[in-house]
Amino acid sequence: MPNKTLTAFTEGTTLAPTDFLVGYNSGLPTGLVGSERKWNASLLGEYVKQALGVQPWQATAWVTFDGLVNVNANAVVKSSYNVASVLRIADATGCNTVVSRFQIRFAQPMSNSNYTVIGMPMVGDTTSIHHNDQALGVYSKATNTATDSVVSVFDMNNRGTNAQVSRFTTVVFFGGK
Amino acid sequence: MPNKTLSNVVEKTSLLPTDYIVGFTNTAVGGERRWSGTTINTFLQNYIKAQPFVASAWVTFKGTGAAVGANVLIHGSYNVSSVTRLSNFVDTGTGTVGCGWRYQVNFAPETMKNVNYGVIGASLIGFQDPNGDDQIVGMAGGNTLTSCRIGAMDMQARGGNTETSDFISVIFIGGQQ
Repeated sequence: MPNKTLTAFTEGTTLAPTDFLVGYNSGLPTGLVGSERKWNASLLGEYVKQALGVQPWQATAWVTFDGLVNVNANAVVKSSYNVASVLRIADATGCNTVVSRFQIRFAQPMSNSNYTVIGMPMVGDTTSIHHNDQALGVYSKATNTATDSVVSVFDMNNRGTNAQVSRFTTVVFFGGK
Repeated sequence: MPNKTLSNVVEKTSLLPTDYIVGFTNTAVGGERRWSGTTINTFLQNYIKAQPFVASAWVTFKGTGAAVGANVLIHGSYNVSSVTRLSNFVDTGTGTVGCGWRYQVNFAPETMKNVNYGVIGASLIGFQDPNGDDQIVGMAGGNTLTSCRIGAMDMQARGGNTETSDFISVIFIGGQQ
């Protein structure tokens, strides 16, 4: 670093991830020449992210998927965070209704099963509505585990009298860490 | 920066917006820069906002009171520029009826970097008028980089009328990467 006063430095109005910040390495005895260090600015971002840990306001996992697959086949995952796969499991029946079910498997296990689950399927396609009017819910608290969660899709238009799936479903998780 | 060793530098216990951190924007002579605490803060905010666990955008809006093609009233939002009411769903089924309202959420410029973002939403169920406020919200067609279509369907009437909700919330996640 040149021997400059602060006013001699050009002020950067933005800090790019590839810029370098300079300082001293705490691992070396202080006051020694050679303890100067430079850090890529992206490392500062990573440091803050790691220092934050998993905060309650962070989603701990989420996934979007196409559910139009056979039972016991993996749904087509379009995008995800901390989700390894989505398996369509057997439909569930009862109370004159039938629902399709999907088991969402986490990439990194949660620490507990008390996470929040929210999701949304389709209620229509681009312009029309018929057999696309689904609601989504958690199938059972008992099927929420640290490694996976089961959600169910209910056909509202037919009051659940047949099993429907959604071509684009989102499920988001908070907590559990 | 004066020619000092670490032990000669006064340690601060907080970083103020008006403080400066120095470094380099490139390796050439003259690449020295100073960045204010405010600039560092902006960099870190943008870094965290780009993480997959952070919402890309969200909006709450009044579903009623706007003509087809007009923008609805937005109560609050993040990275959403407007919400346009579209024509109602067309029922393409041959059995039970189905219809509902459609909306297009328009994002602020440069919000979405991919189209496979997740979408979750909710609406009123049974406030003041339990026969007219029991809507479910869902996807209504494909995502794009600039907008996303959602629908609200009257559950009580199985989508058999064209009622919608005074308060609809939608959250988007995973699109900023």
